[in-house]
Amino acid sequence: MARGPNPNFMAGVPELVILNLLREQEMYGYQIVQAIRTGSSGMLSLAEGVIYPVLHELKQEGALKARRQTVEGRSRVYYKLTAKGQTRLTALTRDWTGLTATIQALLGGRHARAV
Amino acid sequence: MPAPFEILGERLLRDGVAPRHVRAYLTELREHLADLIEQECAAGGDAREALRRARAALGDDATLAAAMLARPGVRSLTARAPWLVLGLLPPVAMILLLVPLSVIGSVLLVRGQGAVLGASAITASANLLIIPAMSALFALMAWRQRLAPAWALAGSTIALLFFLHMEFHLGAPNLGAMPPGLRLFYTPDHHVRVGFNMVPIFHPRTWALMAAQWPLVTAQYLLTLLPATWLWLDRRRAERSAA
Repeated sequence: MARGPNPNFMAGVPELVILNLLREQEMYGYQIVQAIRTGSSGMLSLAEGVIYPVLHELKQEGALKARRQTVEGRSRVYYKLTAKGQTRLTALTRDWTGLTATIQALLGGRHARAV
Repeated sequence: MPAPFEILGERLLRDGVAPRHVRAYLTELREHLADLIEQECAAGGDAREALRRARAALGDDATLAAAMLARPGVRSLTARAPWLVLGLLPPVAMILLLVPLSVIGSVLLVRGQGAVLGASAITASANLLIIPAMSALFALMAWRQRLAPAWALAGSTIALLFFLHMEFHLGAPNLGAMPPGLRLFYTPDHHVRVGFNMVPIFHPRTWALMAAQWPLVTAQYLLTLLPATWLWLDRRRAERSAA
């Protein structure tokens, strides 16, 4: 069985991934989960239902807007990025890029000493 | 057999999540479950296996509850500070409910003596209905958010202790003879006085009023305590059937 990512390094990641996915088009929960699974090749595996508290909180904070629509007889809640969400995405992306660059540098330095 | 996620919903309500968030969460989980079952069935699984796999993919109740409870923004104000909502709200709500009725009663009165009956009816029904209606609202809030019945009883008791009472009088107001308490008066032609008193129950004036209008006051008290009593009995019944 494949090991999932360490939860300690996952703080803020769901928000970042969701905001990024909604950057270009509105999606509903099931679509978002499928897109995460496909895009991460199964690396980001999560209990699918836990996405909704994240979506609801982002909506409450004004980062997302939601609308209910019936498609092919099924009712869906579509989420869309707002201007506030775009600002949040920019900030989260900057933080995450900085963090990964720092970790890469640390790992690179240790690797160089080991060689 | 309970509907999907009913136990999860009950748990979230008991842990203080606002009912609207619980409702939205459960609705989307059910829709997501339907999508997963459809996907599993399309892949060739039988219905029972599809349901089992779909439910496993969605996460167990403990995981789903923990994800929701980790977000402090979803907790209701009533669950976070019941003392604020059910302790301080009653007097404020009483004023907000009675002011429009006072104005309606005054308007009826200034239109002529024939309207006195209407104003009297409004005043009596307001006294008889408003505090019990508010008490029913507290019981409903406590029931929806799975609060202890004691909170609903506390809200109703506070409403009774403040004893808001609507009155109307014909004739110019005699401010020197006013009883103590919070009062608003509407005197458009200086001949009519309509208003309400908010006099604590421990004030002698209240006792005099209660003695003079004891049938109305007794009915008001019984009706006010009824919703909290119903909630307490309902909770006991539920606990007994769960045991």
